[in-house]
Amino acid sequence: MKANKHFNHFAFRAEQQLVQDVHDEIIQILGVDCTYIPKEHFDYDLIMGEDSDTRFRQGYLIEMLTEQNDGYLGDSMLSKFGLQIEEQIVFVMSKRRFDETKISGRERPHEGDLVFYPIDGRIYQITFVDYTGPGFLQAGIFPNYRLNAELYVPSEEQIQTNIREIDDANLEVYAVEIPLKDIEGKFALHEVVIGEESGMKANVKKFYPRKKKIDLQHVTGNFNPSEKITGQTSGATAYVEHIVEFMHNEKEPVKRLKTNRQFKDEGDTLIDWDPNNPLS
Amino acid sequence: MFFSKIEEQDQYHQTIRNLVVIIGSLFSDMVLVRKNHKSNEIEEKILVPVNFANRDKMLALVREAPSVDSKSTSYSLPRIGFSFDGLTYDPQRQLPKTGGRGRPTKNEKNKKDALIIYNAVPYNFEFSVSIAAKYAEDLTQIVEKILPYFAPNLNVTYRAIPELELDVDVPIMLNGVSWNDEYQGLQERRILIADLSLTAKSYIFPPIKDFPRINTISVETQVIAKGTDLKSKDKTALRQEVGVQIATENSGTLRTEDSSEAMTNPANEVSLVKIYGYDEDDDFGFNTFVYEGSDYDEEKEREQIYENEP
Repeated sequence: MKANKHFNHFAFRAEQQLVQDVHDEIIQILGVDCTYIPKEHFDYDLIMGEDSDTRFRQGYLIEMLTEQNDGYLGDSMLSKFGLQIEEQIVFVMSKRRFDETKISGRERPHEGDLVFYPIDGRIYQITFVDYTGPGFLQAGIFPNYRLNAELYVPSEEQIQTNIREIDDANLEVYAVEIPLKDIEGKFALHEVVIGEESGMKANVKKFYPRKKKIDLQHVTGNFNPSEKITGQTSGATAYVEHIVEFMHNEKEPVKRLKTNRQFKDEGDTLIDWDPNNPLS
Repeated sequence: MFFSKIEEQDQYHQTIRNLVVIIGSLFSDMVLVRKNHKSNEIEEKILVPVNFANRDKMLALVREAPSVDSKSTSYSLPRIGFSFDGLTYDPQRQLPKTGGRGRPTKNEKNKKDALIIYNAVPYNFEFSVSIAAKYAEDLTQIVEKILPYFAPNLNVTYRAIPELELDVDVPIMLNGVSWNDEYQGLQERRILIADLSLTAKSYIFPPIKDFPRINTISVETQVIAKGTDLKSKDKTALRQEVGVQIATENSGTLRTEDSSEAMTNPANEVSLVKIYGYDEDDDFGFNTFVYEGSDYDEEKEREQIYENEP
């Protein structure tokens, strides 16, 4: 017995478009504009099967709907490493709207991409993309993506979308504050600065022309004192006034490194580090 | 009786806290270097945060939990957390209980006094250090940077009792490394954790006691002359029980004496000798005093010797 050819539930184009329209409209009515931030790989290692040089540089605005109404999924716990928040959230995104947005290098949402949810101001990382629902095979199509996402745990990846809220949400990422002198020009946000003598590179996190300071991220080493640094995009130049060590950087957002400093300072008063001691 | 001396109970040597500081300071300066696999250029350097895991839950929540104003979670990887897991007595390292160390007190008023401390009780302190990372190569790098220092132990010298300028060598043993990599499963976050189990072989110290310094020792010495008993030909001490007859030769004349007389025999010297005189300015014949470890700069002395050489 074959399926009745007079009833077409799964291959009628107009019906499919109607279903997609209805789904899109529901998301547009109930959802919010989120920013979809695709992950870019720069150094994929085939042996270890991972890439530690991932960057997030573009943001695409797409409306999304959250599935749960009464709290995040998952839980938080106080682990050995501090407060570990494993809150999860499920976003529903229209398949058609995703295709229309034309995110470069994406035919479908990828696991590992980020979603900035403006309501709670947090960044979530997609852990699993379920293309089957909601609206499983209505009129023969999969109208939506269900994105299972978890609160993003930064590991010094570069988030430089030039959208202030998103870049600031990643505040804990370590920045070195370097005092400058003889500043000419204005350093641009997220541009690469290179030291003339040392050849060290870093990204500008923030530039304070009045305070004569610059916050640098993703540094590849230490600049030399009185070294000339040049912004690669803006062409701005300045001289390093003096070097602030990793440990003695008083930048407020790096709260967690204060513990390191405390350990180091107290340890120095206690421990007798003798460089000549072969046993220590 | 335990704890009968109230003033001694003011003392607390913070041994466990010091060990926590030592373990923490070992890892406080760790920098993770990320390199590009193709060009081998350094991409970035990251200072790895370290924290002591045993802490107040409520304070941790207040300090670290995201609020409406501060949305950041303050949790990032890689990071090192370590915990103190307990301590066990180590009988092999126990020194005699009555032994100890002492040094003159620095207190000007009680210059003649000495501070002494009885031998400390050896304990093994167990710590577990966990390193969490998001990327496998971050973890392998951190672990590979740590492990060569433990062969199988790392010796740390630290000032355990500052009052006595007492330095203690603490071997920190690495018992093993376990590796947790949750790469299986679909929707769970992958977090790699390496657990290092460490044993710090240190001591728990008893209270410091304030002792008057010993100024003088009076020793009664007695040399007891022996004479040959001319009858038995044995060598016999002249001092015997009263009334025992022994034959002695004295001043060339052979005679029999009662042993009681022997006590007054001029050959028996009885004297009280003050063998250890002390006064504050006495340098006991030494030019310099070097107190254990403290102010002694071996390197400086070596340089001086080198300079003085012709």
